[in-house]
Amino acid sequence: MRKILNVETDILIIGHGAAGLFSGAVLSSFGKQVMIVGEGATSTSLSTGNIIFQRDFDGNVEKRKDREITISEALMPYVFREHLDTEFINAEIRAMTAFLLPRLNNCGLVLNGSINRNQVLLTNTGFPYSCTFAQMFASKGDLTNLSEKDIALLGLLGYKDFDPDLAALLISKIMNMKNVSAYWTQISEFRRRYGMHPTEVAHLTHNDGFQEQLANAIKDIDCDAIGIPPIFSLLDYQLRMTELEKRTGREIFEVVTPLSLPGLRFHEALRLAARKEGCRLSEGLKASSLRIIGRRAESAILKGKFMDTEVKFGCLMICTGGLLGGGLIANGNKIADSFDIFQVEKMPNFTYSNTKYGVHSLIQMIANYGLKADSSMHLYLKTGERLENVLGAGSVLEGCSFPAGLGLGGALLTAWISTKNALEVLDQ
Amino acid sequence: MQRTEVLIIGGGITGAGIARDLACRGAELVLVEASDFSNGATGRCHGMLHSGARYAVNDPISATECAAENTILKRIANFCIEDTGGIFVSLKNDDLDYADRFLSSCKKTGVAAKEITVEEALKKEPMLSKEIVRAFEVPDASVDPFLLTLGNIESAREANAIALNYHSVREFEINEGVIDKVIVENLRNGSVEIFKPEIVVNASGAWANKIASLANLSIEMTLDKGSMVVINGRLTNGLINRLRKPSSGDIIVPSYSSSIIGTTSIRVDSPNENKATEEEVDFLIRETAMMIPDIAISRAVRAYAGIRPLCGSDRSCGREISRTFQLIDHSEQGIENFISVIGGKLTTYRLMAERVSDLVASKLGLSGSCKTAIDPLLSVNREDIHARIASSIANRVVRKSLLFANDVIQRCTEELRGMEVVCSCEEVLRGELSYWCNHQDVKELSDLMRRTRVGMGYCQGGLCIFGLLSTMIDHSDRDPMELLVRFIIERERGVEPVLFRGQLKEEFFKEHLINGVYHLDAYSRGEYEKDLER
Ligand SMILES: Cc1cc2nc3c(=O)[nH]c(=O)nc-3n(C[C@H](O)[C@H](O)[C@H](O)COP(=O)(O)OP(=O)(O)OC[C@H]3O[C@@H](n4cnc5c(N)ncnc54)[C@H](O)[C@@H]3O)c2cc1C
Ligand SMILES: Cc1cc2nc3c(=O)[nH]c(=O)nc-3n(C[C@H](O)[C@H](O)[C@H](O)COP(=O)(O)OP(=O)(O)OC[C@H]3O[C@@H](n4cnc5c(N)ncnc54)[C@H](O)[C@@H]3O)c2cc1C
Repeated sequence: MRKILNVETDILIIGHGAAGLFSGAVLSSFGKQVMIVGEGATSTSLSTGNIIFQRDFDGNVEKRKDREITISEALMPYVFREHLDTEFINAEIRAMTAFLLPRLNNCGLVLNGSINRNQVLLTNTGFPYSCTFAQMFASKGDLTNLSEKDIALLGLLGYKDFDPDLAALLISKIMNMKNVSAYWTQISEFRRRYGMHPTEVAHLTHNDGFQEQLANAIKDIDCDAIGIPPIFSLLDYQLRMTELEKRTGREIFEVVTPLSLPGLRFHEALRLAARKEGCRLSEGLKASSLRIIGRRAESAILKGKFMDTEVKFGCLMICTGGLLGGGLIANGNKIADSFDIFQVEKMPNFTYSNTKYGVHSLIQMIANYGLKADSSMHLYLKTGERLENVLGAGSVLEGCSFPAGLGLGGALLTAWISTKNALEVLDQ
Repeated sequence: MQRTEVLIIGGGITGAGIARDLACRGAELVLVEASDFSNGATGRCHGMLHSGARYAVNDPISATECAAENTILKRIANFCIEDTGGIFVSLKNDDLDYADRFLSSCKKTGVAAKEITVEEALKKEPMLSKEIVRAFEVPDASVDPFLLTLGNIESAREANAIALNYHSVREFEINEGVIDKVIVENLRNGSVEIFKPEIVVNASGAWANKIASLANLSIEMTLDKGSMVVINGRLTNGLINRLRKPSSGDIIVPSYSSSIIGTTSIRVDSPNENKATEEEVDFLIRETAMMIPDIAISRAVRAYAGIRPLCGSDRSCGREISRTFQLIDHSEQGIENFISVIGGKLTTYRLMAERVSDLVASKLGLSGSCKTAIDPLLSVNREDIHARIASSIANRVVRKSLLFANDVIQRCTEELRGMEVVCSCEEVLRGELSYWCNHQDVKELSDLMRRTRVGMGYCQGGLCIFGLLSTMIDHSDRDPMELLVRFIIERERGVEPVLFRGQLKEEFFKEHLINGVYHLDAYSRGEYEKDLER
């Protein structure tokens, strides 16, 4: 028999991605006792870190080639669609950003630029190597006017995640910008190394002389604004970017790359924020089963290396991520929840080779599957019963996955709303 | 208008083999291929260099041909053959008499089969099921069909042949029982080119009847679809073959870092119906897992299908039809200078090419004799390569660089980013891609794949696509988005039937990455998707 440790907490949050960490931070700020458990890499830290909220859900029409879709339709998590109350959602987004931004600021993720007219951009956008509109966290000033300037992109030999030639071509093509040119430089620390991982590069930037070499390369380029790959970690990117601008007299911005650091920075900052608010964060523990009595969840079993832990709680939050995060699993040709107890919404069989769908549309379709929740984020059992003290947030919910749903934005918004309801649950 | 002695239609292994043979005999020739070389049945086959054992009992002609060609190809084309050997196994409930007939038939047809004990078999192949009751060793091998075809093409070019891919035959102009002109569309720019050949050889595989119909002829043939699944990881050392009357799901072929399981046999009406289905995937995994149980828990990376053009018609099952080939001289039907060749195997391509070339040579009055059974396919001078680059890299690169190893290595070592690993699944260097991007044959990203294996690994292009695209645009002024979308659509065709477990997750990740960076939506694909259905 393995040893079992007993623990009690007000709230247990399973999953340590954007949804879990943000929920934890909010609930702790209300003085609740919060424990977050998570195992494995999060989609949040792997992501390109592009967070977009549409501020005004007033039925604006966004044009995509010849197809028209309303913004609210495109960007709302499904759970809200049925109860779409524009006023309510807009107010919630404002309140949420008011809570979140100063805390991220405190943890090193600083919003420098101005907030765009109709979008609240929280980190770099992931638009095709899209540097221009949302380097708010990374750069000085407002870069929305970049499209009128001559810009240069600088690649670092050895770091293959960013290819300025390709980026320049795509940016000028897709964003219809002229005057984008590409340069390369060799940093001595990178010499004879090929295909380094972003985090490895971030590590090498601490070496003496790195900054100087980079600054010299930038000075050699005759352009006002220069884009570099996101190479600095959360710890020092603010400082480094400012320093670079000082040394070179140029406007420096970051260009988002496929597996780039902004997602990691965002994840790190949220982790710090949750900790600062007083959350207990246990990473490396997997929740293996839940004990449910009637319509209440009582406890969860966490599998550790050497012993198991049984956590009793007043309220449970499921923030285990989508198919990528591991909160959902593909069981035959069905999408199921990994605990195998919750009701999964919209679950007709999907057929792989039914040629009506390409892989692309099939994945978009599968990405819509997820746990059924009502507008207060309460989850349901397979039997159809609504659970009293179990709430969900993030991409584990139906329609919240990316790219079909709202991704990081959806994770934050659903977390924000479910924390309010979690507080209510605890008060009862 | 271009005059030539011989015009070969089809750049699969058969066409390429004929081109090499005839060019070496001194014929002046042009080969035209509608797509890329080896993109027909050749590039969609199982990659098994048959020892003949599979056909010994039921199809002795094929067996004898395969046995002889197996030995020859291992000698002349070792650069694209992994001489792994193979094992035939009977399972508990299999017909055990068949095993005895198998052994005696092998003897008769010259196939070197030898019975080994179950213990020996398990020692050679530890992943084998413990349920096997008998085992026989045979000289089967694993062959890379892309390289074999390209090797023949380059060898033909060395002997002054002209070989053109993305050139599709549209029409014949026939004058008094002779094909006078062949109208060909150059698919790179849409222009029309006219050839005036003395003899036309139809080596267009499953499309043979379509080509024959341009001369108002018809060829009796059956189209038979076979599907295969690529399983991640090399689960066996050599080939594994089920010892029973040839059926579906009998064979496991180790190939590079994966194992390919196959095949099925389904009658189809058109050579374009080459899509593997989910049912076939399920079936193949179930059947082959009886021999190698780990297949059931491994990740299926991709599924693909090829069309066998079999001689004859009106038989109910593709497996009943002999796998030998048929040579048709259409002069009997009133067209003097037209020859078609259909059927056969990848393994016997050289023999087929020899027979076709003999006929063509006698018609043209050529005196040179066939040397393809003796001369090595490619002779590369590799001496100074090892001095310039680590031998582990050199071996890998040289093997797939045909005649161009020196130039490829030069790009790897001298270009600024030549040594960057673009595709880490298959370890492809940027220098290799850079070389091929400049090669006259390369048009699409998938052409690079057939030449370097880039994007063939388990991520199916998910991570290397950025590097691949960036190398390509350095050397071409094609629209990057178009290149990208075409490549993705082609890869997706093969991923669709295996979207479960690991690969489903992988595709999700890829979708996130590519969508997050390029914002490709379903919308922009539509246009290209239609375009690709040729
Ligand atoms: C490459 C990539 C690019 C992306 N780009 C964008 C983008 O530009 N914009 C955007 O909005 N979104 C993007 N996304 C999507 C976005 O990252 C996700 O939608 C979002 O991070 C989901 O957050 P989450 O908190 O719900 O889940 P996750 O971040 O996945 O966190 C869930 C965590 O819970 C853990 N877990 C699961 N089950 C258990 C258990 N039983 N016990 C303990 N732990 C468990 C998982 O292992 C996982 O680590 C991208 C994703 C990827 C992978
Ligand atoms: C599922 C399957 C598995 C197989 N496994 C094996 C195996 O393991 N071992 C083995 O030895 N053999 C195997 N074979 C058999 C082998 O693949 C074929 O015999 C061989 O590839 C046939 O080559 P080909 O050149 O005749 O045909 P193809 O490779 O099909 O070449 C015909 C070419 O003609 C071109 N073409 C068509 N129309 C035109 C036109 N109008 N103008 C110009 N060009 C045109 C096509 O694009 C095509 O490239 C397998 C076959 C299949 C289908």
